Amino acid sequence: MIATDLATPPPSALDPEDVVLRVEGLRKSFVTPDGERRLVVHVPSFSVPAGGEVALRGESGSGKTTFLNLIAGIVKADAGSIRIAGVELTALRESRRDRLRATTLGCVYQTFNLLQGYTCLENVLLAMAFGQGRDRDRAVALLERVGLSHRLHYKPRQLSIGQQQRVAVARALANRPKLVLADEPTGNLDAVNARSTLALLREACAEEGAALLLVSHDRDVLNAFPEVTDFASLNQPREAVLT
Amino acid sequence: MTIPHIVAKSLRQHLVSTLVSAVAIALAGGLLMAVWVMRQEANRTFTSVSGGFDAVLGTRSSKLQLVLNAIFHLEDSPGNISAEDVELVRRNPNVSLALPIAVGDNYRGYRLVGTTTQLFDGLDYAPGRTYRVLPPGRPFDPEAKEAVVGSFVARKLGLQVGDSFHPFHGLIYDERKQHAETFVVTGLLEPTGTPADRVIWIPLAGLQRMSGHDPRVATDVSAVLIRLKEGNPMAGFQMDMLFNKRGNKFTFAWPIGAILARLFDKVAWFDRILALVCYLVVIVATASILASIYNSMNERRREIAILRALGARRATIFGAVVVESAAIAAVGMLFGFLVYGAIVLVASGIIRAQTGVIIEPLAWHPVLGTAPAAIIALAAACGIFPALKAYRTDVASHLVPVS
Repeated sequence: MIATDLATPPPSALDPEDVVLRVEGLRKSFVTPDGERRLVVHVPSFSVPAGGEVALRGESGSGKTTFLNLIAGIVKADAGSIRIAGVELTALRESRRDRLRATTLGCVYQTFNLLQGYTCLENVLLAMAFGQGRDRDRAVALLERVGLSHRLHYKPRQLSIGQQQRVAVARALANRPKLVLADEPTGNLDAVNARSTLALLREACAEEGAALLLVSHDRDVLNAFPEVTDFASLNQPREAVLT
Repeated sequence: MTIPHIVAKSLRQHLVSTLVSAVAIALAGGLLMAVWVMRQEANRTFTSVSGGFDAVLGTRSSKLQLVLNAIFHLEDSPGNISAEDVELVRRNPNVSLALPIAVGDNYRGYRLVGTTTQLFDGLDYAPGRTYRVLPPGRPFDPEAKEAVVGSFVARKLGLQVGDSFHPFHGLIYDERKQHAETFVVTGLLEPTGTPADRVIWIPLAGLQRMSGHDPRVATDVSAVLIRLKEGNPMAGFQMDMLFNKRGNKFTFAWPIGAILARLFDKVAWFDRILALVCYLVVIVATASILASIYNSMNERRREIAILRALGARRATIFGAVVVESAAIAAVGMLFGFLVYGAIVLVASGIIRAQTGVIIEPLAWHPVLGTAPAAIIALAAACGIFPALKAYRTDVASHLVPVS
């Protein structure tokens, strides 16, 4: 069921237009409280096909969240290349990275990261405001798609955990992203909600034409994907030499 | 539209601290505007009130005391001048009008001023505005015990035409010192917005010959209000030379506005201290905005990280915090106008009750625009500190738990 290295064909095997994300020689290190520099991410090569699905299996502390933050442009890489929809992310200054994140990427987090003072509809509309502009009709349609048409004006704390994650899914798709990054999207959900949310996420991404890059350590989640890449096989921090 | 939306949400989310800061701004801003406007308006109004006269002549004393006594009806009379001296002044070629006044009695705390009917003969106290008795009343008969009541006194004491009253001796009301004479109100003075509104005007002889007054000085007056002849720009200087420089019997208080202006100059240090206190209050109030936003930054950091993850730029976050600070000040200043209105209404009422001078409480003054703008700008500047903290928020560490 779990396949390592199979999800990432050699870069030359894919037409650039068929690849929404291509990572090469990506490295990120942090300075520990002891003052020691520790390499956390070293991914020589990785890619996600346009409109495709890639599931990464990774244990806690393996660096997979940092990897996603690097792809999202939230964390700046020490070295390497990240091309998203043909744009070299690492060459962009921060404000351009913010713009690229808003317009091209969608993110779903384990802790949902909804704005508590905003209603469901406002959470989606605000994401649009940073991206392609507010589109109330689309925001309503997205919330209807995730089954929350009757909760448009509810605030997150007035929703169940499962409903909150569905709002996060709608928000992630607000700007018609080319790639959705999902970091343990079912980590806080019970089994029933986890299955339905995962199915919803995959369906919604497929409908919107967005590629999905999901990382999880949950075997049940990973079993839902035909192919799963072991993040440990991608990330080789111990083999890298710190400079 | 994004920043105003974020700011509006944040203000609502932090409603209590927003309101507390806004109230502090309202009080500080209202106080600052009120002090500023009242100071300037009082200065302008008092230095322009002359009752229609150019100068006051009285016995040797301070010019300020003479003006306060004869024009503002506030101070004690410094002494009397004789009827012969009044005639001498009246015949002076530089004088077009010499109106004698006598004081020394009151009715329930309001001063009785004895004078002649010249006051009601078209004498203008301001351009195009003359002392007039409201119909159906009439001026007093100079030989009768009659009175014309100032509008403020009439309202306060409820006096109407046909009413009668017994004056009391002295300028301070003492019910044991009632005079035997009965005066009848023949008219009410049309409101003038000057100290004339807060006195009761009676015939000069009526006050001079009041029972209990010394008959040896029954023809003396307290002061002479003088209007100089037009066409001689040196008239005032010549009179000043005649009475103040060459003689030592009289004091010629001229020009009235300049004498009051000197009084304001003398107490200008107090104005400056008051203004300084107001500035400090404003600074403390705006600093409270800084403190409230700055202290809430820890709880806001996760929200800021989420906004950044959605694509908000650092500049957007920075701008939102600065605008929020300015918005709190703007909301505060809206209420500040209410505070300002309340303070000015009360203060102008007190000034009118004490002096008869009307200060227009709701008149536009440039500081009503500049003070709110300055306070909002100051608040925005204060917002820079928490905005920098927001600007530097590390997204990754505040967004998701590290796996």
